[in-house]
Amino acid sequence: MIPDQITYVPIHTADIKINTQNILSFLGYKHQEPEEMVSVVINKYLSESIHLIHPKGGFIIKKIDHLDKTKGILLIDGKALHVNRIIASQLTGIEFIALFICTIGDKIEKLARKLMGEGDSLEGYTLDIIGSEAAEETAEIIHQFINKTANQYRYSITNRFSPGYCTWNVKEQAELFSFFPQQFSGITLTESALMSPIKSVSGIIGLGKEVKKHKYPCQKCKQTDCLYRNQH
Amino acid sequence: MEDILEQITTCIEFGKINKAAPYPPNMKDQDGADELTKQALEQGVKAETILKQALITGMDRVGKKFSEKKIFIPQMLMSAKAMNAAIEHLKPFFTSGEIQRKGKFILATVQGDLHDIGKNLVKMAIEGSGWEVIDLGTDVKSEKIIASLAENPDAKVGLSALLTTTMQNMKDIVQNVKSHYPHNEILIGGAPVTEDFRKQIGADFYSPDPQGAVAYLNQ
Repeated sequence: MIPDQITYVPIHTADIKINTQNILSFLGYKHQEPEEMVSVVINKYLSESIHLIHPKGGFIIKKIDHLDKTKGILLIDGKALHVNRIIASQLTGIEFIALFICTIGDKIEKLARKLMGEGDSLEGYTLDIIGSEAAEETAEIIHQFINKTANQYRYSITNRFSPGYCTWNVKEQAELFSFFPQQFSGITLTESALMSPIKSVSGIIGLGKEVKKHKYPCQKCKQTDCLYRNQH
Repeated sequence: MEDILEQITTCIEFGKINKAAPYPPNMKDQDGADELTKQALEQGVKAETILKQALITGMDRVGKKFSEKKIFIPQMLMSAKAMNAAIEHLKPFFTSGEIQRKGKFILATVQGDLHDIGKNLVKMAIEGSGWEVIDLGTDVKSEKIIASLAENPDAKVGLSALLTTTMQNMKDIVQNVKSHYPHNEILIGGAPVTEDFRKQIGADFYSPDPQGAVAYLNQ
């Protein structure tokens, strides 16, 4: 039986590998070579980010009570997560759900804001994007850790899904956080259920005997201009 | 006079901030928007002429190239920085009333959404076209927009959302603002937003890019 307890995942800054191509893609360069100025800024802030990223996070695995795919509701410990039908359909066959929260801290967002406030918008934006990538990479490390844990119990895992994406309302983040102690990993929620520090990721990953990671169900989503569409 | 105005326009278009700026490489060691705007004023060119015939023209070229995907976010940011360097010299003329802005534009990312890159690009484009932008930031509730409209009753409003799930908040905000200020136009944008959605929620204009918003405001 998978233990029902919070696991802190050991993550070191050196584990965070940021893909420069993703940074360029967010800046608009899908197929084009960037100007030298852009490459210089990216490299400068990739180097500096090593001192600004402080990754931490963890997860808890819960046996699910019920998954209602028609209504898009996941019941855990008597609590309902309204994940919506797109995500619910992707969780078909799960027996357990891993709920996770992670962050890289607030140093990048503070410096990015300072740079933008001083008029150095390119530097600020680039650093902000590096921060987003670092937070996603932190989530990816936790995803891999959950996979190893699941495998120990002969379970496989699904993709990860976060409030705010795939039509799962961001307000549901409050329900997800209710499975963790207050200020877990230093993360708090605003009145609008947004995470602080901003460069944080929360979400769920399903565990089951027959489940597997799929391409994200982007074709089912009406958000055709989504930044993440078909990227994973 | 036309020569220096065109030089300033070129600096804005290509993001040449000042003489010390190394970008773009083919304009290295040349005067930038900063020095040229100062020189134009010293030569007696009216501040309003600089704004309209150099800065707005420059940002208009930038906006069009961005819409046509001929340039990307970094170049747009460098152009905006060059424009800001020029605007610094014009600030006293805004204060004295010698230059009139085209109007006020209240801009916000809606409640529940912290994404501001799109909003800030719109801000740069609209400021660059001669409007005063009141940036309320991200995660903004309708009450804050209504309060801003109370202080700026003729302002137009721009709302941005990046998440599908915050589009509902955009709908609520549009309806709430319209119930207080039915005649103030609301423009909307952001990755998940569409023209159909605009019609559903009763906003006045949707644009997929900053230049569309600029064209609508300036028509």
